[in-house]
Amino acid sequence: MFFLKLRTVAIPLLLVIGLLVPIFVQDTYIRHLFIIAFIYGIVASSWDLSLGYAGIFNFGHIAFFGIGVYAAGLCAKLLGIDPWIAMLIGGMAASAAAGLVALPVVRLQGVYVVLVTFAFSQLVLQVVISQSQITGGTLGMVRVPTIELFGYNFLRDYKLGYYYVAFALLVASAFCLRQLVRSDFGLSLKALRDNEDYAVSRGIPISTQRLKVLVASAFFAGIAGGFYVIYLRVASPEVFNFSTVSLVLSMVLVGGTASIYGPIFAALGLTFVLEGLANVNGLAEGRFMLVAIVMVLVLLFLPKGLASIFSRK
Amino acid sequence: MADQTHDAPLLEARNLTRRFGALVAVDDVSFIVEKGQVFGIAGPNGSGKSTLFNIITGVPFRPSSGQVFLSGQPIERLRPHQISRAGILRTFQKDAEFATLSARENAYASAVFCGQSDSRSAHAAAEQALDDVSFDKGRRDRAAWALSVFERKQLMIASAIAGRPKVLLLDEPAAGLTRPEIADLARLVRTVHERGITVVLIEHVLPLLLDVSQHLMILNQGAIIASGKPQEVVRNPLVMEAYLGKREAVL
Repeated sequence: MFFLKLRTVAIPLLLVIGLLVPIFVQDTYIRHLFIIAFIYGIVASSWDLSLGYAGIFNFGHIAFFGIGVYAAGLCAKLLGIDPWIAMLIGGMAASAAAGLVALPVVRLQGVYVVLVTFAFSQLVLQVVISQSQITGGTLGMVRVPTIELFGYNFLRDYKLGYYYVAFALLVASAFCLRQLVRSDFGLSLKALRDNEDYAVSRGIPISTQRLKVLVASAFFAGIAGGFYVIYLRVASPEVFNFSTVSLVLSMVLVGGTASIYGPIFAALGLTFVLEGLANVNGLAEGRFMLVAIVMVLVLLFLPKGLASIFSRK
Repeated sequence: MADQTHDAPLLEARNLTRRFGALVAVDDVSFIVEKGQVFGIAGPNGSGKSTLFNIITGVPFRPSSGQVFLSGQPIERLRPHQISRAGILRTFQKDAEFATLSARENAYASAVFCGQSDSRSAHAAAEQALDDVSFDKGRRDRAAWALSVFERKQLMIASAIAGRPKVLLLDEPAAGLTRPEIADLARLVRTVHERGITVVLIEHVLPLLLDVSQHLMILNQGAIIASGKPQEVVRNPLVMEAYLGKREAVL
C-alpha cells in the first residue's frame, strides 16, 4: 500500500526532476549519458510491450531500433528530408519491418519465434553491410544532419536542446505505452500471454493482436533509433550487435518484465553504472560481468525485476 | 454470421471426424442440439468427448472432415476466435484462466472481445456473469492464479457467460470437485440454463448428467453408441458394456 502511494507521487516528482536536471548538470558528457539512457529507456520499455506484456519472444527488437537508425539517417542525409520528419520515418520503417516479421511470427510459438526474429536481425545487418555504397557498410554513415528549430541548433548550450528532446520522447513513449497496456488491447495481450487457447476461445484474435503489438513496439524503437542517429550524427552496424541486444535485454529483465517504468529506470541505472565502472581501473571489460551477476541475482530473488518491489500490494 | 435460419437447430454437427494418423479420435459423429436444451455427453476416458469440443470450436484444432452449423449457418470458414464470437463458447477440462488477471478482468476480457460490448456494458456484463455463478464479491479483484479450484471453475463459466454465448460447451466442469461442490455446480448449470443459454455438458459424473440433461449422448472410441432420453440411454446394454465391460468377460 505504501509503495502504491509512493508510486502516485513518484511519477510527477520524477518528471519535475527530469526537467530540472539540466539546471544542475551542466557537464556535456553527463548530459550525453542522460540522453543515451533516455534512448535506451525507450527501446527497453517498448521491447517489454512485445516481450513482457504480450509474451512474444521477440529478439528482433534491436533490429527495429537499427532500422530506425538507418532509415532516418539515410532519409536525412541522402534524401535531404528534414531530420524531424526523418525520425518519424525511422519509426514508420521499423513498424513496416515489424509487420513483415509478424507474418511468420504470429503463426509460431516459443523458441521458433526467437529463431525467426534473431535470423531477421542478422538479415538486416547483412543488408546494411552489403549495401555499403548507401549505408557506408562496416564503416558506417557519418555527418548525418542534425536537428534545428527556428535556427536554433540543438547541439548548442551543452546539448541542452537534445536533452529535452530525448526527455520528451521518453515521456511521450512511456505515456503511450502505459495507455496501450492499460487499454482493452493491453488486456488482450496479457490474456494471450497467460493462455493462448483460452484467449482465442474468449474471442481474442491471436494473429491480429500479435501483429499489432509487434508493429507498435517497433514504432517506438524506430523513433528512438531515428533520434539516436540524428543526435550522434553517426550510424554504425554496431547497433545490431549482440552486445546491444544483451545490454537492452538486461535492462528489461533487471527493470522488470510486464512493466513500463521498470526497464526505463534500469536503462538509466545501467547506463550510469556501466559508464562509472568503465573509469574504475581494471573494470573496463569486467563491468559487463558485474552487470551479468546483478542480472542473475535480481532474477533469482525478484523474477519479475526491480519493478515488482513497487507493484507489491 | 448471417441471421438465424428459421427452424434450424441451434447447433448441428454433421459427420464430424478427427484423425490423428491412424487413430480416429472422433468417428463420423452427428447430432443436433435444440435451443434451450441441456445436452449431455458422456463416455469412458479417451472416447473423444473433449476432442469433439476441440473440433467444434477450432481450439486448438479443426475436424478432419464434417461440418458444424450454428443456427443453420456453417461455421467452417470462421477463424477460431470468430466461432467464439458467433456464440459457441467453451470451458476446458483442465483449469484455464488468465492467471495474472483478476477475476473481474477475466470476465471483462471475454465481454469485450467475445461479447463485443463497449467498455461500460462489458463491465456490467462481467459483473452480471460473476453474479450469475455466485462468485464471491470480495474476491473479484484477486488474480486468477490465487483462486481456489472451485472458484476457477466458476470463473471459467462466468467468463463464458460474459461472452454472450448462444451455446455453452462445458467440458467436465465437475472434475476435481468435492461432492458438495458438485451439487453447487449442478445448481450453477441450471442457473445458466434458466438464463436461456443452451448447454452442452460433457461429464463423467453420471448423476449430475442425469440430473440436469434433457438429452444424453454416449461416445465410445470416438463414435456414438447411444443417444436419447437420459434415463433410457443409461439402461442401453451397449452403454453399460462401454462403462462396465462385458459380463462374460468379467466372469
